[in-house]
Amino acid sequence: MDQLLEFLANNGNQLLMKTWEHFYISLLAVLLGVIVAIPLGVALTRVPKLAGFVIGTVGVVQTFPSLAILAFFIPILGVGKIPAITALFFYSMLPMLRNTYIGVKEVNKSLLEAGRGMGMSGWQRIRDVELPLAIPVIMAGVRVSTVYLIGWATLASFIGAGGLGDYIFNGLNLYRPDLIIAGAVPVTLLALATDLILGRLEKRATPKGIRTA
Amino acid sequence: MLKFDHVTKVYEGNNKAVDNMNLEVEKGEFVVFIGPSGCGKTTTMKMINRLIEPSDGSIYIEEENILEKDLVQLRREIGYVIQQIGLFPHMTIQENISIVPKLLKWPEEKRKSRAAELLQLVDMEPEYLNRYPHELSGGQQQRIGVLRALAADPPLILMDEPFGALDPITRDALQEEFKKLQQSLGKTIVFVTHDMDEALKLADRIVIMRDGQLVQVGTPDEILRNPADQFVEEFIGKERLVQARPSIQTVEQIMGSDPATITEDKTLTDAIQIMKERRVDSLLVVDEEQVLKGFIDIEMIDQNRKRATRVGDVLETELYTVNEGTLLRDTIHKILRRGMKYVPVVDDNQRLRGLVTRASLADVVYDSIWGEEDQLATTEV
Repeated sequence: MDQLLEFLANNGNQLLMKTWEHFYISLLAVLLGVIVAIPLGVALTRVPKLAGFVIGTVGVVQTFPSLAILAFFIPILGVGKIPAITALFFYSMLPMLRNTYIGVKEVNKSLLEAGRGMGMSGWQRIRDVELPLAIPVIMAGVRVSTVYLIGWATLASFIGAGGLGDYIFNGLNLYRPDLIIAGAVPVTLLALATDLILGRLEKRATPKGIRTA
Repeated sequence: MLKFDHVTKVYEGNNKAVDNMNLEVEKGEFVVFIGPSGCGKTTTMKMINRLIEPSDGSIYIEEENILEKDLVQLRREIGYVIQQIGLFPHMTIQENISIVPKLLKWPEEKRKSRAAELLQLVDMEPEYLNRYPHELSGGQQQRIGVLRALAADPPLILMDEPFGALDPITRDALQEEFKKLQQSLGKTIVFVTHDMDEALKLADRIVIMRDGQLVQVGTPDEILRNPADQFVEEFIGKERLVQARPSIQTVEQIMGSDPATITEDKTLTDAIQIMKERRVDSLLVVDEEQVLKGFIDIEMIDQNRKRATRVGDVLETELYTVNEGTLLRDTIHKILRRGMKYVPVVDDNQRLRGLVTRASLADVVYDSIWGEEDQLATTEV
């Protein structure tokens, strides 16, 4: 206990800073992912022939070892936060893309026909019918992506992006378990807290008429 | 109002869904398209709001060629009701009803009052406005589906088997309600169904289709009396043709005119006395003006003998009645399908006029069988 307090007294500020760094690297990557994956997912429902190919490709990217992807961006984008965020962004894509695609595709066809027959334009159908109904599925994808990314962002430290990974890798190199724990515990807490908050958000964002419980 | 001018729809593989169709629909007319599946009736209807584009020919609404109109604009001016109801589950009833008004950018206040006004048309309380579709029964949902089509007050409404997914009793009720609504609002309706009873009941004019062609167009009576060919005859079905025999048309002509009745202020002992005299097990309860109040039967008396003394205390007011002018074919159908023993006949002021019983139906059927043999004899000659 004393050790813990002493560690916090010495490293408290730095720990907070690293946690914040970790958090915003993940968050930026997820935000980029949301901005790209959701519109792309909706667009893919309009061209089903292309959808299988795109989702398949993204799925293959997902299987690349994360360290390899991070390293791959070094020659292109150098070291630091930008390549890390880029790499994490690619990782975040798949769950969101797939969930958006499935969520929108699963919307009852008769609702779309009703919308079309009443004179909704294509954009109005997406905004007023498809997206609200697909929200629970899309949000589940966002949640899974975010939690994964917070874990994976640890590796970003390898290419000089900072974050809580710094503690873990320093701890490994210096054989200092306290540093490893100092990195691992906040990452875990961050992931759990984010999961909880996004879970709440998912419920809130789900239109009242289709909430199940 | 609506005119099809040499309209053809060819699908891939040279499959003619609708073949060179010509048809005019009057304003305020209720036209029902009917035929076996794949006959082109739904395709025809969907070409009116261009959910399906015709391959050839033109369609006019109020002299205006719809193929030259803006697609979205056109659809907002035509009501549309589908079989699957298609209410948006994430929107309240009010939002669902207000979809087209919202698309047309009506102010919020006007949309709200319109939704409430429409809800009254189908006898639903205003508190439904803030409910969600899943909180309503199937029948209520489709009522909302119909109201949604009426919301922006379009002159023309398309209905694609709107009552097909409902249970028979709800369907019956909605059909009646809707027919009345249509008559009072004067809308032009294009209605697709494969249910001949529905067509006969609702239509001003029936359009029978087969393989993309019009086989016969006429009022229900015309079609029942003079089916154009074997196909139409089979499609209508023999029993309906029999029921449509011209000699008997309305329930008034077959009803018993002296049903056993009692007034509310009489005692249960009086009721039993009358039942015994008339040899019946139930009595219709009326007031001095012969206005029907309900009925009372022997079981009800038996159960309540100790607690109540007057007929008014135990009578059951839920009672299915028909108007004296109702066509016989509709009534027969109902009596048989709902398994009722009898149906009181009333006039427009709910005054009791008579009673149709299963026995009176037996007379009709007896007549029809002999009548049919007569007909066969004449055709053979």
